[in-house]
Parts: sequence; C-alpha cells; structure tokens
Amino acid sequence: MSRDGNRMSADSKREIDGGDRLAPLQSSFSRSPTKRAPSARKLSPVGSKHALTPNSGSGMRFTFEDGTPVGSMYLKNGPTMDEISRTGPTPREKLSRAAKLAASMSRGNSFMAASTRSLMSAGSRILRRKPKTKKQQIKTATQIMSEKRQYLKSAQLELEKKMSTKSWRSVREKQQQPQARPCMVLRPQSPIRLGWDLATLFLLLYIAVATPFQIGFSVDATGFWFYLEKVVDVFFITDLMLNFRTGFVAANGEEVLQPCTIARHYVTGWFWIDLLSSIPFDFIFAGFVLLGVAYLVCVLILGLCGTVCFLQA
Amino acid sequence: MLKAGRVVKALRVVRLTKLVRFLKLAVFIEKLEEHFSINRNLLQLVKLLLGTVVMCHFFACMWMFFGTLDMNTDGWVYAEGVQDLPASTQYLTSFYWAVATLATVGTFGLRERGWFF
Repeated sequence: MSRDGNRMSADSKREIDGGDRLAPLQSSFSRSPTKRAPSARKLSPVGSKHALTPNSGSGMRFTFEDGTPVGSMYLKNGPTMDEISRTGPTPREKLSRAAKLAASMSRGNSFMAASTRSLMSAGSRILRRKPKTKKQQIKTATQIMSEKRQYLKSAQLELEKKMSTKSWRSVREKQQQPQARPCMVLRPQSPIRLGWDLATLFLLLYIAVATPFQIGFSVDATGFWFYLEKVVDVFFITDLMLNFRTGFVAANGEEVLQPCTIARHYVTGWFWIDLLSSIPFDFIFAGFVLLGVAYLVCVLILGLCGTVCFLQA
Repeated sequence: MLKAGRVVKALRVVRLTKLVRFLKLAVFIEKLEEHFSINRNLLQLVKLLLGTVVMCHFFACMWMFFGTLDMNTDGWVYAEGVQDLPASTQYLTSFYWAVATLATVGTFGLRERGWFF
C-alpha cells in the first residue's frame, strides 16, 4: 500500500472513528479541544520555519515534510480500533470500510462529506444498539473508548514535547549530517567567529560614539584612541576578507561551507555595505594614498572572485 | 581660504560611511542572541535605551557640526555665544537641544533663559 493510501485511510479513520465517536466524549471533557487549539496556534511559527508546513486545506492541519498529516501520525503508528478489539470483520468494520470509501470519494465535496458522515453516525448508532452479549459488548466499547482516549492524550503530550523549540533544535542539529569543512572556512557558529562578532559589536559601539563627535567638534583622536581607530580600520577590512571565508546558514537551516557559494551569497548581500563602511578615509586623507590604492585593489580582487563565482553558477 | 576650510571640514563627513555598518547590527545581535540565550526582554530594553542615547548623541554632534560649519557667525553656536566655552559645555548644550527636539518638548533659546550669561 502506498504511503498516500495509508495516510488517507488513517485520515478517514480519524474522521470516522475519532470524529464521530470521540466527539461527544471530547466535548464532555471540555479541556481537550481548548487545549489543542492554542498548541496548534503556538506551533504555527515553528512549523513554518522548520519541518512542519501548514497545509492550505480546510482548517488548521499540519503535515510533516513527507506529507503525513501530524494528527494522523500517532493514529497510524498506534493501535487501531481493530487491533484493540481483536475481532474479525465485524459489522462495525464493514461500516468503517464503507465510510472510508465514501470519505475518499466525497473528498472536497463538503455536502456529500457531511451527508455521509451523518449516515455513518446513524449506522454506528444502530450497530451499538444491538449487541451480541450485552455486558461484553458494553465493556469492550468502554475499554476501547478509554484506551483510545488515553492514547490520544499521550500522543498529544508527546507531540507537544516534540514541538517545543529546544527539542526541535536538537532534531535539526541531528538532521544536519556533518559535512567536511573545507580548508580555511569558518563555521558561522564557531567560537572564533562568535568572538569576532562580539568584538565587532563593541567596536561598532565605539564607532557610533566617536565618529559623530570627531565630525561635529572637529577633533581628532590622540594617543590611545588614535591607535584604536587604526585598529578599527584594519579590523573592518579583515572582517571583509573573513566574511568570504565564513559559512552561512541557508534558509532551509543547512550550513553552507563551499567557498564559491559563500562568496556568491556575500556579494549579493552584505558585501557592499561592508565595503562602503570599511574604506579607510583616515588613511587616505592623511596622505597614505598608496594604502588606499592597495585597499581598493584588495577589495576589487575579492569582489571579482565573488563575481566570477556568481557568473559560474 | 575660508571656503577651503569649510570644504575640508565638510569632507570629514565622509567618515560617517563607517556608520553604514550599523545596518548589520540586527544580524549580529540575532546571532549572538541565538547562541548565548540572553533574556529577550532585557535585550529589547537595552537595545531601546542604547539606541535612544546613541541617536541623541548623533544628532547633538550633527547639530554642533552644522552650527560651526559657517564661520560667519551665522551658526547657532555664535548666535548663542557658545563658541568660546569648553567643549564639554558645547556638547551639553548641543545634547540638550537634541534631547529636547527628539522628545518634541524643547525650544532652543538658551540666551533668554540665562544659562550661560
């Protein structure tokens, strides 16, 4: 049986068994529907970001990446009605089979679906009305009910636990197969890169305070601050080069470490802003024209590398 | 000569291109936040406060720059008579203007208030 058929059967089973027979039960336990709704709403950002995607069908229904609906997951894996009752083809099973067929046929037709559903519920009511041996039948029915409810509850809890961000992060990390790191390429989350970013943050703060002051009050940095300015300039140019050698996290959550892809990503992104902000005007104004030219050549080579990669792809 | 001085002074403005890097600040903060799991609310508060102060500082400096750009006593610095005071007082005056203007509560008439004279 194909996965699609399996999913459909699980789905329709849920519609028939869970929907009709558990609906009064769930409404008597008024907590479960209200509990389910916020969890589903809470999940939606996680779903949109990672493995889950909100299906564009009717209502809020989530599917995993392989197309399996979230709700049917535990129903598919867990014990079904037949497994619990362990009886042969009973009238109820025949009815559910017919219902499956009807549901699969009436998919997309809301009127037909509603009518079949009402018919099926009527049929199950009739079935329930004439038990073979009254006591046994009632007992098994309640057993089935309670077991199913318990299973649903535990499955929901498990799902909620799975959906919390932390475990999702671990799942995502597990999914990332460790790929070989090319020579001289930093991972975006490596300690060196994080330290570098932290240093950049502090230097940016210094720049934000010092640069407007120097412009507004026509003063130049002296002593320690003079050297710090030079360090900042060199730092930013180094940052420009380092960014060509730092992997990035793609939209699908994968780490990209190929130098060519990195260069393409960088040149089409933050490169121009970094380029503009790291021009050492202090050096150029101080008469170090050679240094300025060297800088330009450096940047041009880097940019050309990126552009060549861009054209190759 | 006077004009050349103005041009040199105005040329310093190109240094402001360094501040373009601030567009990347959000990326840095997001990355660090993701890694160090800082309290999100605290971070928001710090970001807001720091941003406000840096903004006021920036506008104060720019106000000072435009006030002293004209040597012909046209700028507010000469009109207010702040030009010979120490830089700290000048900065405070400018900062006062920036805060008052950004908070949309202030008027700029220091001389009438008798702060300095």
